[in-house]
Amino acid sequence: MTTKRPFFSVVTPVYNVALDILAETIQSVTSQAWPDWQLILIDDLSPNQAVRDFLATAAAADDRISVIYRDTNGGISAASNDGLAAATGEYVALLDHDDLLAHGALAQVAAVLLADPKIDYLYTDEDKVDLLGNHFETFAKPDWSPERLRSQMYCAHLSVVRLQLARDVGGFNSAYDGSQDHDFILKVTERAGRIHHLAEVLYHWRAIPESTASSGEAKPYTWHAGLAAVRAHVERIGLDATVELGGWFGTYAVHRRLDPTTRVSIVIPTRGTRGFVRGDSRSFVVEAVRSILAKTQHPNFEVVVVADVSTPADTMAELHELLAERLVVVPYNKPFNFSEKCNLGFLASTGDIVVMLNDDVEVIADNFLAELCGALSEKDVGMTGAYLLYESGMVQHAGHRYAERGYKHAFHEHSLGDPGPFCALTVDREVSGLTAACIAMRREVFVEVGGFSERLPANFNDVDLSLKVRAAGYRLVWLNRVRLYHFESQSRVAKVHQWELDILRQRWGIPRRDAYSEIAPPEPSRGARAGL
Amino acid sequence: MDSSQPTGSAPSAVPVTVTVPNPEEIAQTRADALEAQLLEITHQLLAANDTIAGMNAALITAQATVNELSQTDVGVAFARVDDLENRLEAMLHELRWTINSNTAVLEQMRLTPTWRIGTLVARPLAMVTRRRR
Repeated sequence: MTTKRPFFSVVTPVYNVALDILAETIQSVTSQAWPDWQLILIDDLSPNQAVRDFLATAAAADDRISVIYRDTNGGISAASNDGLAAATGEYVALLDHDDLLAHGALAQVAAVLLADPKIDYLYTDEDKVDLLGNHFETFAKPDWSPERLRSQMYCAHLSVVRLQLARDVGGFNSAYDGSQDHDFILKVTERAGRIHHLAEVLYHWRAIPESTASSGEAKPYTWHAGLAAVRAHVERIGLDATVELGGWFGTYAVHRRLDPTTRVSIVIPTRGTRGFVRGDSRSFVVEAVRSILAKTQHPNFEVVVVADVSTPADTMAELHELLAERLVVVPYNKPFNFSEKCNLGFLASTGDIVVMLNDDVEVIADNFLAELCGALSEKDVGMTGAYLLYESGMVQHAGHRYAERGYKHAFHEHSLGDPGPFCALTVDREVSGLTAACIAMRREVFVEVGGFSERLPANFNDVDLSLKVRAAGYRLVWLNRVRLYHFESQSRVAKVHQWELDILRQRWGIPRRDAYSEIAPPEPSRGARAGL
Repeated sequence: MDSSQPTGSAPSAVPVTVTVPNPEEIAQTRADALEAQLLEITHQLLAANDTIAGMNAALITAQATVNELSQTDVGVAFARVDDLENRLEAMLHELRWTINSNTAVLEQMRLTPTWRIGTLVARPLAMVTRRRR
């Protein structure tokens, strides 16, 4: 470990790229204000002799540029590994032969590394740039999100890795060509001591007709290579899970197994409210339970119903009939306090895992409990949550977003078919908070953080719980396949009291930037770029 | 004591029943009591852990605020603006809620016979009043 000025080895495999594009790529490095770098260009036996000649000219013009000419065409992994072998910097930065480093990229990365020399892996935000120089699709990435990396190669560019670590993990593997970077970053992050997200666009991914940036589906084999890489990763870290292709190109679905002997307690606070759904009157809690029974294969569970004493007797009778010995009833006869009701339900429960569920939900997803609770087998996962939809099919909850002074649902009222920005709605990922309408926690974590704060009887109790779980060092994982309807009134105006906000802000301050759901700034128009 | 009643040591005619507690019932009662006590203690443990977590968070937040303010002269002004904006947000929430509540009550009132009769009575009077003006 050293606090000296970081020296970067920029590694760029080259194969038959257009010369004007390659020239811009090289120039984006040579124009960096940070002087401590070397650029290693590895020609993977380009058939076009002009490319090789161009590389020689570039190397002759700047002694910080070196060129490796391969005797055989080995593919991108082999070429990248030659670059890693030749690198002499403390850190390696990966740059594709047709992409661009942003102005000042290395200086900004260096500033972060100087401030925290323990960082082993750093990634930045990125955007795309077309041949006319128009920038678009800015990807404001989440902070380190291991669940998302298993579901999607979101780190990508710019990636800066400590060279020794890059070599220790064995560099790139040709077996995953097309998604070799996904495999590489998975291996790096498995071993990295510290990982940092630099929230600045420091890399411009060139969108040319044949490039992946133009359309991921231009190279469909990359998806299957990525699947193999994620499967290998899951095996390396010992996850009891299977991996399949996700619903959208470039995404993967990791299905954890839940040990059938694990006891799960589902806690449902209710007062037996009835309402209309799809035109029919229903008892919410009865139908919620019915849907649980229909969509749960896990054998070992109980349902703890914390019922106001005013709950209709016929509702309780139906619950008894449906659940029989699985039912535990906790009577509640105090003024409404959602937090206390949940805590009392927890106290009466016997499960290793406790699921908090609102009574006005309906489970959609198959294998509901296993999918919701499986991730809790990882000890650093403190809470999991679900994808909640309004009756209309619009998104009610896809994780909380705490930013710009407010506490909100991320992607609220997006439509169900919308994959969200960079497929955020189609992948499992870390989030800042989860709604208590459907969450799962291990018993010991619930006790450790003190359950729901009964000082917050109505609003923000789930925000507070989420923040407590995160502060205790756990991850919160939102699961895109665990889907439920939530028949919460879309027009309801929740009465929020100043004292509730005061409690929350006294504890947690005023939220400014969300770690996992940043919104990219609007792209400037051409007019704005032209200074008009 | 009523002196007209005979006194003496004659045996009572009422049989004395001695209830011997069932050991299983005693054990069950004690177990129930202990279980209730355990639940109460665990509930208190939750509350205590919540308080600890909250105070730790508040401490970190306060430290961050102090650091932030100590680095800038305008920090105090920003904090004041934040505070005022918080109050404004809360007041807007309360206002919206009150308006919604009042509107609902008003709608309900308009459906009552009293309101309808009152309107029937008041309308001609209002017309007369307007004419006089």
